[in-house]
Amino acid sequence: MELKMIYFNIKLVQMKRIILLFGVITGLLLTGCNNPAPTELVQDNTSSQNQVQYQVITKDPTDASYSNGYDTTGVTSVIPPNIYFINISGTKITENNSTRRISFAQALFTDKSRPLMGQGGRLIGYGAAISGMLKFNGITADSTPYRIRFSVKGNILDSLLGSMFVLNNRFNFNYGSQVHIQYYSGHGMHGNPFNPAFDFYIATPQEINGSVKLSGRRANNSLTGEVEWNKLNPADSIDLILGVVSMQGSTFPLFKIRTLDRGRLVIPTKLLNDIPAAKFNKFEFTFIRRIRINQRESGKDMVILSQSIHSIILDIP
Amino acid sequence: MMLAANISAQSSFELSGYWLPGNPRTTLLNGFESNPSSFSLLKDWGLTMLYGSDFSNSITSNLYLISLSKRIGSSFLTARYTPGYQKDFVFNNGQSIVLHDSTTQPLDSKFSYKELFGLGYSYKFSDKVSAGFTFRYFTQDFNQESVYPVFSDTLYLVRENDDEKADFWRGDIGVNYSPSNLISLSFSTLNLLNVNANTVDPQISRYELKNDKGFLAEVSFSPTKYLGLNLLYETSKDWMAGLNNFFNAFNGDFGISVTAFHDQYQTPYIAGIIPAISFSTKLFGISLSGVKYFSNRNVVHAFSDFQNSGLDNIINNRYSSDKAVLTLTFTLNTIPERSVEFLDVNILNEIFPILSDNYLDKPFAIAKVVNVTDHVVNAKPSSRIEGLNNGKIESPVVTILPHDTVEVPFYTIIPASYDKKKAGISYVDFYLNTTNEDPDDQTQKPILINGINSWDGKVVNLRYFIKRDYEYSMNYAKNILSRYKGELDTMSYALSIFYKARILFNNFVSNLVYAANPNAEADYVQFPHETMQLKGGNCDDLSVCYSSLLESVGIQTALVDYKPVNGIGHVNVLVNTQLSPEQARLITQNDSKYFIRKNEAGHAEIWIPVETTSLTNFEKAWDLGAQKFDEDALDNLGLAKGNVQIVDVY
Repeated sequence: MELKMIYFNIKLVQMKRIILLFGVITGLLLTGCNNPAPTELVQDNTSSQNQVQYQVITKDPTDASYSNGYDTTGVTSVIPPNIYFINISGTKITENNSTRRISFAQALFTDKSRPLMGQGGRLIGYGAAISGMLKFNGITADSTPYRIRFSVKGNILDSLLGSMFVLNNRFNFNYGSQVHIQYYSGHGMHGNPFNPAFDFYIATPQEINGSVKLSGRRANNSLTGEVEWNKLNPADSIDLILGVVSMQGSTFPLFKIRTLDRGRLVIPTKLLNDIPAAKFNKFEFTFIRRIRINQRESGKDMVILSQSIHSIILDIP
Repeated sequence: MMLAANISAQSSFELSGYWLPGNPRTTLLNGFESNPSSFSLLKDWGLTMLYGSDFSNSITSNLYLISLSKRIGSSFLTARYTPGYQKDFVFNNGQSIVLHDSTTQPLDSKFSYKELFGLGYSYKFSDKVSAGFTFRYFTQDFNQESVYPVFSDTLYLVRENDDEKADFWRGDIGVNYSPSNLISLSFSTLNLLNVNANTVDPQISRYELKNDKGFLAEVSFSPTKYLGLNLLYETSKDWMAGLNNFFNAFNGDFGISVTAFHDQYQTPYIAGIIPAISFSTKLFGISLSGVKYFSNRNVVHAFSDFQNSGLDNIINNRYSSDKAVLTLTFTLNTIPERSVEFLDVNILNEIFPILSDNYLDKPFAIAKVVNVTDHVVNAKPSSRIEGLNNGKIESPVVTILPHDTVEVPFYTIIPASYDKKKAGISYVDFYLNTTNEDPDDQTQKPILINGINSWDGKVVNLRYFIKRDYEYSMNYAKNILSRYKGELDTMSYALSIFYKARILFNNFVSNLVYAANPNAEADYVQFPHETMQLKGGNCDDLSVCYSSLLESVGIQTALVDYKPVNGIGHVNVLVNTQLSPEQARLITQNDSKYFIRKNEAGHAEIWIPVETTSLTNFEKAWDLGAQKFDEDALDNLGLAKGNVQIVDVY
């Protein structure tokens, strides 16, 4: 009997202990369920991770105003409206296993005092004026009307904003070389003083050769894409313009993807699969290796783009 | 070219410090990290909780671990939940969205590694060898923000989470060997078994925890009861070393420990130390430990380092911060603590069931018992002989001093109803109880139980045969004497005993036809009723029978034990006539035919020797008995020398 009582007392002590245990456990659980603080890692220059920036080029793929005179492929992106702008490029367009080469040069001298406002006060562009003579590698550029197209209440309108210099396929764009630019001044239109004069050389980038691998099908949302190009300096960037071609043949640049010049990039699948199937039947991938020069000439800020461009057009699987 | 992250699952590291695996008080402080075979000395239930603070740029506190352990016989089970075994990394994944106002919106990633829970089992094959295994479940969550276009009235890009999981089970086995209290060895596998619950994109898989296979060896050396040295070495060349010291205070054990560890992925060579103090009693333990790294941990970590060098351990890696850890252990011991233990049990003699009274005051076994506690213990010994006892037979309580060893006698009771004639091997269960209902210790020994007729050859023990058939003898004797009632009633009262002895003898021998060789069945004694049924027996049987007849009617007898000469002993009977020496002439004129003994009151009484093997008549038997007694006991000084012994039946 005594033994039973001792055993009972032991059990009683253990019961108290269990109650204490549950109390402690409950208390700790209530106060101790925070996750450990995460460690923040920072990207550095030596990172092997591709640095990639995504940007929408055409907010409205149906907006014709974005298919303007010098930006039909999106290669020049947004140029500040109040500067002088010179663009020279060596372009390859690959479609249906054939590639054609185009050299192109243009110079646009905008006049900030002549803005063109669109619907709702939206700035569409500035007027432009040229005078004198511009040569690329000693070949005189043509004077071409600078016109843009834009939409007003759903109607596509053309507007002439002035003139610009254009030299199309009449000079050799040598990759990894230089282009000699010479400008001889004259008098501007409307009596505005326009008398700059400059003479300089612009370096040209190495040729870019891209390739595109598409697999899967957009219909079942399994389209994947991978692009490769001849990589050069991994510290530099290249631009990849992802555009679509409409049934009517018009090109709409949708996204600009800027990435390090490492030769390879996997396109986010969503960018490929979510493109409206009813409107577009082709992709246009445009690889751009670019030298951008900001310099001041004759008291004017000038932006000079020297670009190697390779566009690849292929059907959307 | 990207390099694969070099990440391993949990390996040798203990947040509570590295304690002696062979110390019952600290056995719960070591986790699966240093003990993949789940070795433990826990006696019953165990509960462990680790709660700690991480001293990174901001102090965060959380529950690291809860484990529940249970011993069932030789099996030991552990289940643990490890909410704090987690390492998260957040970083910009190198991508961003350029908004219309030329600002950028970075895309972030979060990689989360967790050890969620674990299960352990070990089996104790002996006091020296145990083996076991552990299974642990890890989760890996790779969450990356990616760009997602929305084609509506306006095309724009938004961020979307892509989540990939790579969960897996890890299993390891190990064996522990403790050849002595001084040293303990352990060998375990590392990443023996890895079972992936799901797979991930190859771009992500390079960030998964590594599962390189390896081995872990552990040696613990305890040169004194209070000092322990532990070393753990992995084939990856990582190691951990712990030094423990204990001392008693406040009815518990204080422990001081310092652990140093080396991790190939951390600098300097000794990456850090884990000082710890503990206090433990039988009921609970509390430990306070700290993890101090020798390199500066409050620095900015580059993603490229994570890519190139990775992570070798979730809770101990180059990104880990100093920690303070509180460990609580509770033991719910529903199994009684052992206070006393058997060292050995010695069976003194085989069991002779007829000698029942003998076992009440003479132990049949002696055990050596040790008190394993630090206090005085009252041990309650008990035993149960299979086939003889229905329940435990308790023996007297023995008080044992701390750590003292004593001899504990075991007594038993032979039930009066026991009547098996055949001998057989049985076994005895010996028990030692202290304060608990269940025995502190028990052991089992074989024992020989003789048949009910078995005799140990000691004449003094023949009385048990005489006593057992008392009822039969009384009926038999009264039946005979009733026939002589008239004769007995008319004779002198003083002579009635003598004549009763004569009547009973003459009737007794008239039914017998033989006297057996005394050497035959020397250890087998017939009960009186058997002798009468068999109509004969040897000197033992006949003396027992005649003595029983007399004793049953109140005539005092004694057995005369003639010790063996040339291997042959003999027994006959002395009958107390209760005549005084002065009355001896009433029965004989020959004073060599009787023997005078004093009763308890000091009065002299006439005893006559009767040779029971003389199957003639009383006078002849008396003559033979007297003659032998006179020669052996008196003339040859047998009584004086001890060659002849008179054994009173009662």
